[in-house]
Amino acid sequence: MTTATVLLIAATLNLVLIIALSLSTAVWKARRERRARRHEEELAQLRPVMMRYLATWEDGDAHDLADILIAYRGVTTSFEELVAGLLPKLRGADRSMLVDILRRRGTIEDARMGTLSRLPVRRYRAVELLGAAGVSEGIPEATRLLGDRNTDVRLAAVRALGRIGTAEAAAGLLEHLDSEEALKHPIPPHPVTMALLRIGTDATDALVRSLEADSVEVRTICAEVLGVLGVYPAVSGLQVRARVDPSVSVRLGAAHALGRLSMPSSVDDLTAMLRTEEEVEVIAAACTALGRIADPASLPPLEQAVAHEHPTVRVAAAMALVAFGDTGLDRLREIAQQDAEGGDAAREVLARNSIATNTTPLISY
Amino acid sequence: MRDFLESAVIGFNSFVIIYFLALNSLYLVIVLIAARAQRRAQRMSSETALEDLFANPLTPGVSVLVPAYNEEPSIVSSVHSILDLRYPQLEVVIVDDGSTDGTFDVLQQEFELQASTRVAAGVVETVGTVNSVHISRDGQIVVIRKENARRRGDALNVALEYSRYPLVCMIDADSVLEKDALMHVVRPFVDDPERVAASGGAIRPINGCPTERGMILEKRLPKAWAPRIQVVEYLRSFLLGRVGWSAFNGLMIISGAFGLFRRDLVQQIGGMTADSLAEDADLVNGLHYRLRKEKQDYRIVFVPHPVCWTEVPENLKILSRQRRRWSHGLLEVLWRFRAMIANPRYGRMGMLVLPYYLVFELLTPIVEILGLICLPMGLAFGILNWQAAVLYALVAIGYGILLSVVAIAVDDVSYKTYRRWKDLGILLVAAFLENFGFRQLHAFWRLRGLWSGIRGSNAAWGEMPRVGFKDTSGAATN
Repeated sequence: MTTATVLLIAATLNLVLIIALSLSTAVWKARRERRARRHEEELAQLRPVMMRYLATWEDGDAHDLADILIAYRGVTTSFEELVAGLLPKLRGADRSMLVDILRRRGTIEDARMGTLSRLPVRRYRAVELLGAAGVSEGIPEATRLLGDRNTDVRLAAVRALGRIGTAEAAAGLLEHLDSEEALKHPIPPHPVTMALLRIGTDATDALVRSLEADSVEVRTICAEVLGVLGVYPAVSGLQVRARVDPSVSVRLGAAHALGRLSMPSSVDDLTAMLRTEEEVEVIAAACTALGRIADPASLPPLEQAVAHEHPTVRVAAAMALVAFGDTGLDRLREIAQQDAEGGDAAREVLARNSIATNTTPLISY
Repeated sequence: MRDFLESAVIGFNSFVIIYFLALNSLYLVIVLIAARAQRRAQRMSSETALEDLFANPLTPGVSVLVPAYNEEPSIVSSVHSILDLRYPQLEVVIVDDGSTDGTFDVLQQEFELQASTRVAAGVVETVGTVNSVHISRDGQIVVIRKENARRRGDALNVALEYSRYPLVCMIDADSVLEKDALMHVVRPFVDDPERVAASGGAIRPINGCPTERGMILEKRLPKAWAPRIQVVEYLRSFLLGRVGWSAFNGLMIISGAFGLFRRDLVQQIGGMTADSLAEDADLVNGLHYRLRKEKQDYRIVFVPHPVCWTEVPENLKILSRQRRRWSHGLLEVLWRFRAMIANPRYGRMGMLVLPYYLVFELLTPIVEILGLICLPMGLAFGILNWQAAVLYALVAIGYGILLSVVAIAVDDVSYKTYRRWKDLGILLVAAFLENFGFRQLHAFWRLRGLWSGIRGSNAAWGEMPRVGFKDTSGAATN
């Protein structure tokens, strides 16, 4: 075979592939558009039935509509697809009725079975559905999938437990995170915090218990979430964590939480942190927390912190002083006039304060 | 002598064909890896995850850093586009890098800025002196006015010094962002906080899209062919190419138009290299270099969602300047990180990614221009016949077109960005036209950039004259 023949074959092959791919793309686009149109038509038929059902089920005469919904088999739109969009928007009894329809269609049972699928996509969709439906019978499946080898499936399981939202789901989540299995297939803290925040007060007991967990990650999560949820009985436990926990992230989370809870009993621990703590982020968080509590006893240590060597601490301490009102602002003005460390932070915070409150700055910068 | 010349010309032409076959085949593999990764991501995408990210009070804050030099036409639009982003906690730090136009005036007027002061972190070295600091009433916008140091990297370093949140997002002053852009690029950080060091967003050309207050109303293709061809280029190289590289943690470039980084890591490597022409690639490679050297388990991620729209040059003069700068910048980066090339200590970056960029990106214009010279030479001296010359050209060009068509097909199936049939047709025609004139000019510009890099000539970041967005609100965007 000559070079020319090889080149000719290659050029022809290129041409054929270019034409075939262009045509396939066009065909794909046409099919997608046709499918989208049919999808809209089916939704337009199904949506009113669903709305009528939700509006009339309380009167007890929606059996026919329920039967229609249970028997519905769409071509492009599955009933589950429509419900998945609606469920997060519904609350209370309407939501329960819709979940009941799903149960009677066998969808919940299918989803539970789906969590055992070999395909990650199926496990993912199944646990997402269990979460969207918020059914407690999904807790064992979702908890099991926390140890799934696929990261997306694990994250979907965390979200599902948050949406199911019971004390059992919270306990399962935290216990799993504190187990050895969680080391093999780690779960990031952020989705866990959101799941626990969604569960809310039902998660309180498990959170307080887990402040003593072995895992640093679990203790950090618990500290942060307890602060956001405003669990006052956790204050003493959080103070202990702020004082003695060997992990920086736990001490940081505890300082954040103590600030959010704003209990005067935390002032001693927080001011002690200003003296003994070495991590800049933690010292800054302690300053912010003291600003939230605004106890006069913390004024002198905060003034000292305005002269800290690290700018993050200086600014946090200066901002904390603003929370003390005129007393704090007067101290900031004094510091701002000095050329010593802390003058820069005081000037920044005073300028920001005067711009935010539309008042004339009492210093020049 | 003639025999020698004949075998040299034929030999070189064969080399050129093999080189382009290898280049396009490698790229085809990368695009196919990207398509697979994209399909998987789409099947397991979750709106709930984004909602949770937004609702969570513990979501990390983001400082958006915007270096601006003579950006009067588009800066207000861009800042509005940032402020309208759906994200719970963000600040915008704009550095007016000695603009000679009304960049600061329009910002001051629109956002009622007032003179203030701010403590710098004092971690990263900067060059240009800071003249003043201005903030908005709610403190969300900070504008730093500084002397121009003729380097974008220096403007970004100043912005980094004055930023406060743990994540920093670097964007161009003319970028327009999708509403959920930040949520998409932050998500990898919260899903894998221990390992993710940086994430980049997909960039698309905005020319031709009608906008209002920094929001895109409809995604359309540009009217002129030069930017249309750039749309195809962006699809092939900046979207699918990067998704492919990212799939095996080999992302070498996160575009300066939209990238998110961990602030502490950027500070640890000393910020941006102020005198680099490719400060975005320089930063990413700096992170690879340090993290691999320290044997850390890390990831640099590319998010394929269309999150950022930016204006591409419409006229060839500006395009030529941009491409020369890119080529010069690539040479700088490869030179700066030469210790990584072919060094197994740096894993895939050293053994695969950087060698690829050296052989198939940096040196391509040399091979292409020599190929373009050899072909007519062969014809003129009767060494090649017309039939062979045409076949050589057809194979090289045809494979290039095929690659572009694959990219267009993957984009249409995965992202469905352009809805109109006409747009699909235009993209296919642009993929064809790219190879007749544009590609050769592009090679020439890159060669000039390479040459200026070798000579070490001094090129600065400067203004790119904007055509301006098509703002349907009637606001002056140009």
